Amino acid sequence: MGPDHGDRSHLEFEEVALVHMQRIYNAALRLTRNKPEAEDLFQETYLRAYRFFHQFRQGTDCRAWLFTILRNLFFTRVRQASSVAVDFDEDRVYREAKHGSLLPQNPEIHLVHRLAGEDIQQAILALPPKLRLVVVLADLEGCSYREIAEICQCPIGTVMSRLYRGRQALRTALRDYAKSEKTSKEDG
Amino acid sequence: MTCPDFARYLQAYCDGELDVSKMLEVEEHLQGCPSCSAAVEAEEAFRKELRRTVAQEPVPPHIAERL
Repeated sequence: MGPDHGDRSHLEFEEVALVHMQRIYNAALRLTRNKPEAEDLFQETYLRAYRFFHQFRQGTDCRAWLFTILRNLFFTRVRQASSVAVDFDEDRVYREAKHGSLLPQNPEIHLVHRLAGEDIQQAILALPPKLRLVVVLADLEGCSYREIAEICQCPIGTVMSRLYRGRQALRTALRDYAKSEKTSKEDG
Repeated sequence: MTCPDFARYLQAYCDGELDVSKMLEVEEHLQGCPSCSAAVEAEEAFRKELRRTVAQEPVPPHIAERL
């Protein structure tokens, strides 16, 4: 990156922001469809963070600040690519949540176990962007509801609702992947 | 607390997001309810497996060097 700017040093940026590089990169990978796209989103996040580092409030959570920048850039990209159809049946999630048990079932654990990481990544990508973001932040990055609310700029109740819907949708997608895998094995 | 009540709190409980009084209420229910306890175990195992399967990937060196 470039030389010092404003009244914050590059060294301070390294100590406060670059230490979260791994988390930000992994979140970018889970949100986007391929590595080049993730690398691009990751680099843009850090470039913007560096440019606006003077706006970061010392003593606050820098990881959440970086995730907020990532989130804003991610949704800008989603809006730009909004002509791309999203393969997601939200009505089905609601139907299953309404008629099925609210409690998880043991076979679901085995679903994840049986499927490859790539299938699971595809299932995550099939989630609508707003649900995908909260699932990635909560379940893969270990963020709290409060942190996610701050990052997504929405109330905690909305975080909980999106997280519930996202997790249900992920389970639905994983069941579909497991079924199609079983069918292809039987056919083959 | 009944089982349907518990189902509403399951995710927040597993996320460690309940306040202390609600958490104690949930834990009291869990002590006497094997099916809800099994649901907690299933939920936690699902998440653990998800994190394990979607492994972390290191930042590619050519990207890290540019920062």
